Amino acid sequence: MEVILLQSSQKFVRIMANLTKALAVLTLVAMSFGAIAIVATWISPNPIFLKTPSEQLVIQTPSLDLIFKFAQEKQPSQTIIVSMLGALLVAACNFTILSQLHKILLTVPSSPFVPENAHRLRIIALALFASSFLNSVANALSGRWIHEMIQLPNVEAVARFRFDFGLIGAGVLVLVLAEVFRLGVAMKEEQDLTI
Amino acid sequence: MDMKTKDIIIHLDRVMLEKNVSLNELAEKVGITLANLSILKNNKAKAVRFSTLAAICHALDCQPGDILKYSDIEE
Repeated sequence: MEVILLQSSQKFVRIMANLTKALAVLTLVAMSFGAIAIVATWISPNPIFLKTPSEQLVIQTPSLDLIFKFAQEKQPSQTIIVSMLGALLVAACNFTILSQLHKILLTVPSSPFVPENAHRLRIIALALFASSFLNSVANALSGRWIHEMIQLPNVEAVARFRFDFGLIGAGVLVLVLAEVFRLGVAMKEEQDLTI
Repeated sequence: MDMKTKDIIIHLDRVMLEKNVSLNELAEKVGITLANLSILKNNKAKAVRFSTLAAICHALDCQPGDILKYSDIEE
C-alpha cells in the first residue's frame, strides 16, 4: 500500500513538473505575442486588432453582456499601451513563478531540502507581490481606457483602482513558508554534518 | 585571504597513524560510513555524537582529548 502511495506521489510530482514547464513555455509564447502587439499598437495609429468587426465594445458580467456601439470611431490612447505593458509584466511574473516552481519540483524526487529552494520560494513570493500590484494597475488602466472609449448620454463610467489582496495574502504565506524552509534546510545541514 | 579563528579541530589521522588503523577499518569498527568518517577527518563536521566519539575512542584505544583539540583553524 505504502509503495503504491509513494509511486503515485512520485508520478504526481513528475506530472506537475511537466505541467509547470508547459505552462511556462505557453506564458513565454503569450508574452512574445503581447510584446509584438504592444509594438504594433505603438507604431500604428489605428491597429486592426484593437477593433471589433462591428465597432463595438462588449463588457461581460456573469449574467449580462453589455454591448456598446461606438457612436464615432475613436483612436485608442496611450492608456491602452501602458495597460498592455502592465499585463505583459504580470505575465513575466507568472513566468517567473512557474519556472521557479518547475525547478523546485525537479528537486523533489532526489533532495528538495537545499538552500536554493528556499531562495526560489522567496522569489515566488516577491513575484506574487509584484503580480498583485501590476495586475491592479493594468486593470485600473484598462478600465480607464474603456471609460475613454464609451461616452453615452446619462451613463457615467467610473474607472476604479482595486488592490488584489488575495495575491498579497498568498505572497505573505509563501514568504513565511520560505523562511520556515530556510530554517529547515539549515537544521538538515546541521543534522547531516553531525557524525 | 586566509583568516584564522579558534575552533575545535580533529586530529583523527595522527591517532590513526599511531595506532596503525586504516580509514576503512575504523569506519567498520565504529559503525559509520566511510563518507561520514571522511567528513569527520577533514574537519567538516558540525557536531559529534557522544556515542560516535565513544566508539572511536574504543576502536583507537585513546581518550577524546587525543582526538579533539581547541586550536587555530584556517578558513
